[in-house]
Amino acid sequence: MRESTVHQTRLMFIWRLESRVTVMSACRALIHLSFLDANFQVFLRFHTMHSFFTRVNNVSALLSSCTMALLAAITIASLLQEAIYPPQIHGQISMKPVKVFNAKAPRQRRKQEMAFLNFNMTADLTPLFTWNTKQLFLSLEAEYENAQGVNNTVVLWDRIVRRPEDARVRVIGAKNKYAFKEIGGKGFSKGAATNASYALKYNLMPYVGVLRYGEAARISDVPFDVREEL
Amino acid sequence: MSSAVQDYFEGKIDFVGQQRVEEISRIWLFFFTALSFVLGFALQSLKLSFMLLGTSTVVLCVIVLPAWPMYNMHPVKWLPVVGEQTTKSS
Repeated sequence: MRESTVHQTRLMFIWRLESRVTVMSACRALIHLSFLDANFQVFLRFHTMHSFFTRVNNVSALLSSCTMALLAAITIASLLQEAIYPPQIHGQISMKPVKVFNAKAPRQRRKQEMAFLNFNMTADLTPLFTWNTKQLFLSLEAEYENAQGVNNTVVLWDRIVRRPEDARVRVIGAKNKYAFKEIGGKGFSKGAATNASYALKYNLMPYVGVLRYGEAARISDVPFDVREEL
Repeated sequence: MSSAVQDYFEGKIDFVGQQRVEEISRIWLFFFTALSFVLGFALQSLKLSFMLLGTSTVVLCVIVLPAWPMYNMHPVKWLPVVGEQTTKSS
């Protein structure tokens, strides 16, 4: 009985010697690295055999990390650039008094009061175009307060600017693209505000980073000129 | 014959080669990411940044992915086969 246990212990000892180097024994062996040759030293750190696909996997993982780091660097650079050199945009809007007519639009069931704009606008938005600017969304918005005390903001005209060459906005005698109706209240003539403010706002869309909003031009207290029915 | 073809497509390299490949790819990608950011910011062109990163990645793949002979200069020296064991195997 005793002889067989000694025999089994010897077997296990031999098996351990002949097995592949495991991580645990590698840690112990690292203490004696000085007398091992270069190949075996490296073997202790890698315990799987590389193949082509392992290398593909490793390189693609590194590339993903580097790309994400690059995108983060671009975002931070844009934020810092905006904080240190904020763009100063000056623009002008001029507008004739807004005409309000009570008429029935096509495909609508009843008559509604609709306002019509006629405006000139100039703005130079080229300082907004950096390496990280994909496009600018410009919108002309009307702001007024109706009889119920609700503040309304209505987008009446918009434009997408994709190149710095198109960033100089100059419109003469333009009309509102979208219908200007006072939907919530009783219309312009029955207790809505007698005047409204019009602002040219921009939304800068970067390639990487946060969206930015700003205002390029503003004109306040433009009266509504309510006309008789057509 | 088929094992030779299989070995070729598996693209094994020895351990010193593996270490070198890892070093090369890390240093290369780090350097070219930094360079593409700096150049793109200086010349204000995002397209340049990503084109530079893309081409440098393609060149890196050519340098690192195939099992070039220079990565097989230190093959593993296996010990000679020990004589047969006379004990019973488990």
